Amino acid sequence: CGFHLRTSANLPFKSIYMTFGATSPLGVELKRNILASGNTVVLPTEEGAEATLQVLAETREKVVLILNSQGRASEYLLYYKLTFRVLDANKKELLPPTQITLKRDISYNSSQELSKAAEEVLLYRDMQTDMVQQILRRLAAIKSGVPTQVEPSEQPPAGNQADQQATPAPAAAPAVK
Amino acid sequence: TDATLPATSTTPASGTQTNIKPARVNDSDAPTNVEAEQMTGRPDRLINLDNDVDLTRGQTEVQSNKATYRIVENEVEAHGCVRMNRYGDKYTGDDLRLNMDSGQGFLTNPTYHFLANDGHGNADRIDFIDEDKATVVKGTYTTCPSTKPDWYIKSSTLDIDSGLGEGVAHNGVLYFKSVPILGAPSMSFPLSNDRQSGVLPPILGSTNNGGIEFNLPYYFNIAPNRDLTLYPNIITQRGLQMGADARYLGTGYSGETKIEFLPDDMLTKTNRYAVQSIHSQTLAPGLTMGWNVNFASDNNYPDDFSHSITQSAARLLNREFDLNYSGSFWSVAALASRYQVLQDFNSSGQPTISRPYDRMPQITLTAGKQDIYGFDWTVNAQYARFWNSQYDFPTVIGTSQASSTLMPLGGERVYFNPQLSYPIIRPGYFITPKIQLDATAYNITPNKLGVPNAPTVAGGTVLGNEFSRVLPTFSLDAGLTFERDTKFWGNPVTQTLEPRLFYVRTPYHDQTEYPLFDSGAADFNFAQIFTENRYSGHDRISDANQLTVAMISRFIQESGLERLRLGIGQRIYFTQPRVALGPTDTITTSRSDLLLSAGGQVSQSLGLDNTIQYSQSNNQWVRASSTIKWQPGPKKVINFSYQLDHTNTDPLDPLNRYLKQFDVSAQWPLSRRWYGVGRVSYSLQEKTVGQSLLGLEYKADCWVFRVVGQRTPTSSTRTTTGIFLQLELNGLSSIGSNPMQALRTSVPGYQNVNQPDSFISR
Amino acid sequence: EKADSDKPTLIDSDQLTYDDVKQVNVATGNVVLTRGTLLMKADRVVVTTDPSGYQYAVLYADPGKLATFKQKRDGGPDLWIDGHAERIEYDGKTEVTKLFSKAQMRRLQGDKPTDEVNGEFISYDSRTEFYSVNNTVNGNSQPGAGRIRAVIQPRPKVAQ
Repeated sequence: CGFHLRTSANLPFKSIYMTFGATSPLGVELKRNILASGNTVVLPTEEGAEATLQVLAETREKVVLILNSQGRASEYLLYYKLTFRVLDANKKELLPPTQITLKRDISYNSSQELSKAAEEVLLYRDMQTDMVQQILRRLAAIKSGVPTQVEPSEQPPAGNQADQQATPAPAAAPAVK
Repeated sequence: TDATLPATSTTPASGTQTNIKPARVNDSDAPTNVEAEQMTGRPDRLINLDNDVDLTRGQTEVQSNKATYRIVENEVEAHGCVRMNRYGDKYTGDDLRLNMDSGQGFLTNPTYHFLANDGHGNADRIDFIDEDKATVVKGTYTTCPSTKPDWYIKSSTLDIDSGLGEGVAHNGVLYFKSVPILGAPSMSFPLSNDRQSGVLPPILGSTNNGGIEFNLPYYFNIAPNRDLTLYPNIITQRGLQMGADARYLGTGYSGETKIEFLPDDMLTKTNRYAVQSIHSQTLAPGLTMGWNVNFASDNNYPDDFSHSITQSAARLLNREFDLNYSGSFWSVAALASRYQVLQDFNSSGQPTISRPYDRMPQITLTAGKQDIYGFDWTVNAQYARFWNSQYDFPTVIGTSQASSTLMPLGGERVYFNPQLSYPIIRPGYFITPKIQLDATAYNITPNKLGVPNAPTVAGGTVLGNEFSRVLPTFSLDAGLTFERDTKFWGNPVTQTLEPRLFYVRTPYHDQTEYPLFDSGAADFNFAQIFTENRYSGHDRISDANQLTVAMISRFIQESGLERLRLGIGQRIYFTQPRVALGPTDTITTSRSDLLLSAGGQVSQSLGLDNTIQYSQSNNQWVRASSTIKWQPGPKKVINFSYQLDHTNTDPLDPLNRYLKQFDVSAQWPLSRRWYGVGRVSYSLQEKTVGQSLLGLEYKADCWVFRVVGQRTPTSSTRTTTGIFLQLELNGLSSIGSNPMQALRTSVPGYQNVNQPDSFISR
Repeated sequence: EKADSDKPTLIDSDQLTYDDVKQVNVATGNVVLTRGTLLMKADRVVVTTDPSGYQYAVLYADPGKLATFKQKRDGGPDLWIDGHAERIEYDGKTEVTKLFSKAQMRRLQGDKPTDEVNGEFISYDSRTEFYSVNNTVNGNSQPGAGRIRAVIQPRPKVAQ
């Protein structure tokens, strides 16, 4: 039925620099997958990089999805959002600012406060692996030289911050907004 | 550069630039262009201009019937239907005198229209102080476009400062539909769209546990990276509640602290307060500290102040301090955490919230290196000291379970968990064998009832206070990626087919007597079926000889955007796991429940997310979640959500109720100016309506009126009903003032009707 | 400048006719009239001298061309005034220069114009440095008859 094993997932540029922090888990996993994907090298600095992946915003967020009849949260929604863009060697935009939003829901009740906190770490790590695959897909879709069109639904909300509740969630502490 | 805070009350996002407005610099060597129908005078001294005069210099243009221009002093005097455009602000008046260098002068019988936010009005006189500042005598101010404004401020003097972008009305009276609704010795308001100090839209409301309340928030824009919002709230049956929300963002540190304080509440004769403070700071390169402190004055705080900062959903308030140091490939995270329980007693007086263990301290080491000759290794190690005062006194609360040894008074736990894997990642497939070892040691302090860790089950092993466990685990994760080009609703997509196998082998070790500090059954979902241990936390390591089989198919557009993702997965137990948390958690079948999921942003306006956990053995949906979000345009969104969950039962809930709930929430324009907002959650299992909210918003040209009725259960026995009115006068309150918190949190995708239409979908 | 008033007037042109009785000189063709620092150019110039010796000059430009004048000003080094119009009348007695239609007058510092005025009619009294500009050729202003434009450069700050 037309399926074939995916042969190449190499990116349309030979070298890339990414503005992740040195210890950023997403940066480490993305680098590992780029190296494994074939012919692209990840450079530690911007010089000489054919493309630069610029991270504009990386936010995690926890929102109450369901309040049960005792007024207690019984379902949370975890969001993991990354906004980034890709520039070529002379700062021309290959990929305009794009926002990837991933979410996982997690059940909750007060007797599992600590175990759910640990489970959140697991879900964020799962979203991180998913995010890596989605970023690789976006990078592979860049026709070298032609800035790809981005659908409005993907653009980061221009200025309309009112709708986003980004809380810097330190180490999965359940700081509910 | 100094980062600035985003416009609204979200906590600071780091890295945004400061946008300093172009200062109004008067270009001192700009020529003066003059036009008229007659000109007489002495070129070096003074020229008189007659009929249809137009004098322009730099960014100031003056038109009038007659004018005199003193060249040396660079001063213009104009008479007869004067019109002036100065840095974009438009004025008209009778007589004008203006020094073009210093910006000083006056204009009689003026009308004025400010470029920045279309604020305008008329007055007896304007005294220009300099390029930015002016004083309007007996003037009015409004942002309503029509000449007959719906609201305006009339004040004896109005200080305008375009540099700061702020206006202050002295002894001003605010008229709404020509009815005076507010008089104040001084009222400040923003003259431009960026963040300004100023009053936020007031909220008038009444609730069943506080009576009528009036909240007039005030916003201080202290600095681009620091602001403070005060929420003075008069609650008639309780007293004056002061709320404050301080945000700060500096190089290396940021945070937000909210405080609510109601001195001697008339109903309870006690002080009521709540604090929520988040802070993170880099002390040195790699060394960061932070805290996340929440506490409240008493158990009923969430009930009595339902829209308070502690959100009625949170009854476990965490007080946590963190200290993290990260090296190049390793990091140490130390934390001390203690919870305050806002106990919720059910109708029969039984507490329904169990207290989590304090962790004083918990120190975690994580280290790892990738691609050392193809190998990845990671080491997770942790020392934690748990304590729980809930098990400190004989009359222990709750069911018999509390008296068993599973819930010791406290204890220390150390674990060491090295992992070694050899990931082979290729475009078409991946194979990741992984071996890991878990060595855990306990030293517990039993509670007053429990004999030092005596077995609950007759003939169980006696463990005493110190015991340990060493368990190796082998896992193999392998998957293939097939692709083909196909169509999805007409546009070309790449469809993937990703079969995946995940085998886990862990020997059995009897852990029935082990304490339950931070372990619990994790939700059965696509993240969990590919992890080795079906319990989260570290007190239980489930034995395993199982194979997870799954198939995922994604529909990916050319741009790389994933339109739809379908998934099916199941776990096959070659030997049934024997480790269990309790009687209800044992596995008796050779195959786990079937996991099905379908979801994604199917089109620009339609988002679906459905997962079902189906038990073949008793032919029952164990867990199901289905959310549909339809957002066809700005300020139009409908969300449906159905949640079923048999597994998430609260042990302390005598009725053992499970979750079976249906939620609808929507924001929809009813007419050109009326917008409807609503949310209803209905529990199918208890046949009761849970949270419900209905709101109407009227958006006029220059003001928005909101009325919101809300009914929210806040505990097992109490429900808060309230109705709130809010009048938001555009341009009078600083931009970005969030509409009532309830609207934003209850209706996902809600957009403030006052904001310009920007289409986002989440 | 003031010193010009006692300088001889020299006229250089293709043709020059002189009527001694009426004391009228008519110069035609690339006429250049100089008197001290005053320099006037036109296609046709009629200079009459009144019995007491004051001279009156009228400069005409061929259609589509302009008569010009330039003179140094008192009150500072290298200060000049120049102008052009289709017709210029200069009255030696009152030292008033009148420019008719498409009139422009400029005050210069070296060759950098500090002020510039354009209109249909400009009259400039060099003795009092008073000038008036109107939008009709006959020296007064009719509403709607046309715009006068002037550009005034800022003065160096004089200590108030």
